[in-house]
Amino acid sequence: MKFRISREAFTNELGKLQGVVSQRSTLAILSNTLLEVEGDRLKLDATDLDISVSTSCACEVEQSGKVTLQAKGLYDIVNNLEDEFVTIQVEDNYWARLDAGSVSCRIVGTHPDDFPQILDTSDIKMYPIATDVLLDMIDKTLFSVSTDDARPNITGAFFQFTENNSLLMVSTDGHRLSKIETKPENFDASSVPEALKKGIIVPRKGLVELKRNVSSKDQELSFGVKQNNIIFKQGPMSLSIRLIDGGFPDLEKVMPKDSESKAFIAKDAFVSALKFVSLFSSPKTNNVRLTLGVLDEDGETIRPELELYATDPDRGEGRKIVPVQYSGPTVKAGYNYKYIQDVLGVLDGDEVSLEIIDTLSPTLIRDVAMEEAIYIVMPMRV
Amino acid sequence: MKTLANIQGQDAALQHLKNAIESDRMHHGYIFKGPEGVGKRHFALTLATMLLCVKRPERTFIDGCNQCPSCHKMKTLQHPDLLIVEPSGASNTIKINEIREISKFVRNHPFESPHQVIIIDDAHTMTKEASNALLKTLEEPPHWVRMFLVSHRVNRLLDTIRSRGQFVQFKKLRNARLSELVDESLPQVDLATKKLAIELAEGSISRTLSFINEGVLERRQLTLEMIETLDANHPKTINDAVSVLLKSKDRAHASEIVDHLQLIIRDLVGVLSGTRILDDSRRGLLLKKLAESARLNDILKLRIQLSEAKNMISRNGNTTLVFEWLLSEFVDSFTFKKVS
Repeated sequence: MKFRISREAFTNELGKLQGVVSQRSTLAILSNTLLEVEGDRLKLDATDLDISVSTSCACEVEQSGKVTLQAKGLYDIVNNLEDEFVTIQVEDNYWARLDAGSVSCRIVGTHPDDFPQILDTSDIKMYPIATDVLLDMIDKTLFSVSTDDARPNITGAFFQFTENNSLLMVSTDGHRLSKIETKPENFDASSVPEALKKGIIVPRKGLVELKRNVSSKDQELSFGVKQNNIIFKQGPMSLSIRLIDGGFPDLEKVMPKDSESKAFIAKDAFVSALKFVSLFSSPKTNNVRLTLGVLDEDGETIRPELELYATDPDRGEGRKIVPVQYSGPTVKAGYNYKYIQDVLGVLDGDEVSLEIIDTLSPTLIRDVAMEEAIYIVMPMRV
Repeated sequence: MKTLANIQGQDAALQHLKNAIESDRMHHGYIFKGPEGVGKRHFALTLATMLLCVKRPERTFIDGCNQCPSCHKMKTLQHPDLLIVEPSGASNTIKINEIREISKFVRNHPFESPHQVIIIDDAHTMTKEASNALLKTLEEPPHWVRMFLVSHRVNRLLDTIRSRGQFVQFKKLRNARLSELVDESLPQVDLATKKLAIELAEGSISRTLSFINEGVLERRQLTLEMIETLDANHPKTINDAVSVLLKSKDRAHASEIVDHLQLIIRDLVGVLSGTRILDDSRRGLLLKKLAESARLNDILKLRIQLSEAKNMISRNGNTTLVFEWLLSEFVDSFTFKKVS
């Protein structure tokens, strides 16, 4: 195998693989990339078994063939070259000889059959989806995906094409839940893969990798489902993610009923108040108590205010009042402030709505400008 | 490449698996039991190669094709659908984290092969927590999973593990087969060493090879020489002998020396009862001298004390103290050393 390639293109493509190649796996081969040249293209594959990335770019092929080389090492080598073009020639023992201008080196490689068989994605029916829509959905749900391996079915985001022709993405870790539903334009509902109608669970790492590798500038993105994998393609890049088996918790059961009284708060004021009061919360529990509708001194009038309060025997106590638009009764509940901070962090609008029902019921937070996204945070006893 | 042809003297085990695979009634969890070093792990790996091969027609009991990418990966055991779990760490046990890896592993479908194969070597070294963590997976893994637990001490496995697996019994290898295997891997070994090692190894190839490789035969001789130097009039000889014998602080080493002492006693019993005839080698002469100065009763008593000593060592007893006690018992048992 022998080919000549532009250094810049090679570096670019190798960069896309770096997220999935692992150094620590028991399977040493997973730190390698499979290079294959044929026709006038170089194809690169990398996998950690859960996620596989394939990409390709143009090159001058002198002799076709395959080899696997250390992905990280190769990236560092190519990235540090100065010349514009690189020539790689593979020797009989699968070592690769790399020449570029005044540089020449030999890199240890292995037999291409050492590399795991990557899912063939060429025959899959692909469906287009707008890149920004998908990335936005991931952004708004990724933070609440569980990291607890004891419950594997929630270590990913639930992705579904619902009966009302919308795309749904939900994530939860048992203490909080994020749900976003969008109606994509130009989405052909009649030809959606069956698996997606039932809903699939995309693992956390897959979502992270998707965010990393999909360019938001390029609106062309398509996806398909094959053998328990979801595949995303953009340009020459294709990303297959092994789905998580199992059922996702039933949404209907955890969704709180709409409360009668909503509070509307300026997001920035809420964020800064939370940040201030959190200085007094215990680092172990991150406890903060929210009180909506503070009772006046006369014990009768309810003021439209949100009181944030935290206390810790080692630190003291702190309190801050934020004006809100609220007309309901006085309600209070304790929370892990980080959960609320996470939610506020992904909201785009200036105003948020907060619905506290009572001390133990799930609390709803929404972006006023984007009602289709719902965030639930479970209170804790403080 | 691991092939069926290399598995000899284990016809029952072979037949068992052959029937299971050919009739498509393979169990998901087998426990390979039998003496150490007779090819249990080897057979498990051969089966793994077979089951993972992508070219093998269903219901056939044949070696992997040695051509397909899957068989290629099995040569280095770097296969995404193979998981080998072995004891590790200072305690040389299989811990719960490794078992959790198994649960994670089976959660996914096979990557490229029709099956996923899990081999747990020295399964009896699983800690209690690890064993319990394995129960669920061992009881009903996904239908594509095949597990092989390899152990030469199945009585140490938890009952709950034993009841979930299907036993496959392996036998001791015949001495002729051991001799063949030694010739294959260590062709330059001299005949006397080879013969002695095989005699001591009790049908286990791994023990035979380690006897030859690790100078066990020399240590055996040294043990006998040290017994000979013991003198009841000079208690210091006991201390000297202990420090020579326990040169390495290693517990396995101490336990091996007890093995040698046990063999000496066995030989002596043989000599005294007339079933063993000694030759004129240095070892023979030393044994003869010991036999002449001992009574059968004392020697039988020593035998019990030796197994007690072994027990103490395996239970983290102080090896030096155990040996000092043991050797003073030896001194007491041989008349020629007693104070006249």
